[in-house]
Amino acid sequence: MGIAQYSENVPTIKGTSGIMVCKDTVIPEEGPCVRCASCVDVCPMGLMPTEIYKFVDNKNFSKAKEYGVLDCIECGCCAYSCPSRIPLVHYLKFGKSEVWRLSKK
Amino acid sequence: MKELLAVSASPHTRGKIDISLAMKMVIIALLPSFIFSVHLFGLRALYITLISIITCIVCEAIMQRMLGKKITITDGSAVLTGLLLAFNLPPGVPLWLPVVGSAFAIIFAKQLFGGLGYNFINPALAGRAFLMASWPLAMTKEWLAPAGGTLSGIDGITSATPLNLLQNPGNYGVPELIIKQLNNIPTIKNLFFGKIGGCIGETSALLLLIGGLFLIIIGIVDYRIVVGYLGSFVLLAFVLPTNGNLLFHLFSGGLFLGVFFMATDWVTSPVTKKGRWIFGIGCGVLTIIIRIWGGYPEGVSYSILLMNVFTPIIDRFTKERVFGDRKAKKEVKK
Repeated sequence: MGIAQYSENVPTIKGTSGIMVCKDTVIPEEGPCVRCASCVDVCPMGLMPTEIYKFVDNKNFSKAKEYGVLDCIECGCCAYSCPSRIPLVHYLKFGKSEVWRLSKK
Repeated sequence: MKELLAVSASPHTRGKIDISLAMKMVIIALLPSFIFSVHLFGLRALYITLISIITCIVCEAIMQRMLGKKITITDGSAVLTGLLLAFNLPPGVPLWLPVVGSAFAIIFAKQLFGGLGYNFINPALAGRAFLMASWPLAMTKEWLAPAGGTLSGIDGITSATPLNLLQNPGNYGVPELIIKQLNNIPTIKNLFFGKIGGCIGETSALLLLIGGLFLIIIGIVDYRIVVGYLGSFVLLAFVLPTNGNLLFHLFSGGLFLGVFFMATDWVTSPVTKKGRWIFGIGCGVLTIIIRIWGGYPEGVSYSILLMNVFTPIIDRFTKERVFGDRKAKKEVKK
């Protein structure tokens, strides 16, 4: 949830409900998907993040849409539970924007 | 502006279980059986296991080097493959056999298909199937009697494993007597506690059960495959005509090793929840079919291999139902 900021020069405005500061965060290295299906088990929307992420990775956006990438609520449960540390939310967000962009054309 | 901050999509914190931790947990769950098998079969079991593990690690490193990938032998997956393959070998096999099996498992079944996460069949079982097809005599005759027991689990017969005996009782004496002896309580006890001959890691049903339940509780192994497998197996062993009784079938052979540690392999089992039920039930049905009507006395490894091959199809046809999907919406509109 929320939007990561790349700079400290961002104003705090009325609508800002909270600020989270990550100290000494190590961005974990992404490993291969081992099909453990923990993302499928935890997804509150009943999606299959492992399949969608592979479609997005291979630029197969029509298939990603078919598997329900637009229904993702970006809660982050899948990425949290992923033992391979795959940034699934990142992939799914990118997939969503690409599906939208392609459908507008 | 001094410096830009690192930006990534949420979440910015990660769960505790990662791949190497999960592999370590599975290895820990297998350790009791391993220690017990060293007690049963002596140092030979230890040598075979160590040779198998070392070959796996070396082959993985060589293959990853040749394919120009990052060398990831520390994640424990090669160690686990070696351990599981050794668990599937009779303790009396010549010491070069695990080397060939491990090399096949890692080079052909795993790395040539893309390494961890991309192999379509369980490497350890592929290695076993390869050895079984190439050196059937070594794989089915080189049994050792366990310490303080007999190979068959019953007194007087020392040349066949329990499942062999059940399939061909006529070869070893009066069939009715042997079958009666196999199904009585002392034999079942021997099977449960592991005082029988068999592959290195499969003898003690009790220790494998403890290890398997430990993995289910910490959430590494999925209960759907285990319940589906055991459920369909128990039901069919109860219903179909077979010489052994239910408990005999449940505790004999490599069933528990297969159910808890092989069928539940992450990479080669379906990702959907419904698919995992189908996968488990399919394994159970195939195991009992091979045991009763097949040529081999034991069917666990081939049933799992067959279902591994079906995994992509199962995944394709059992998509998860998306919360509030189109079908549900149409019904509401009506």
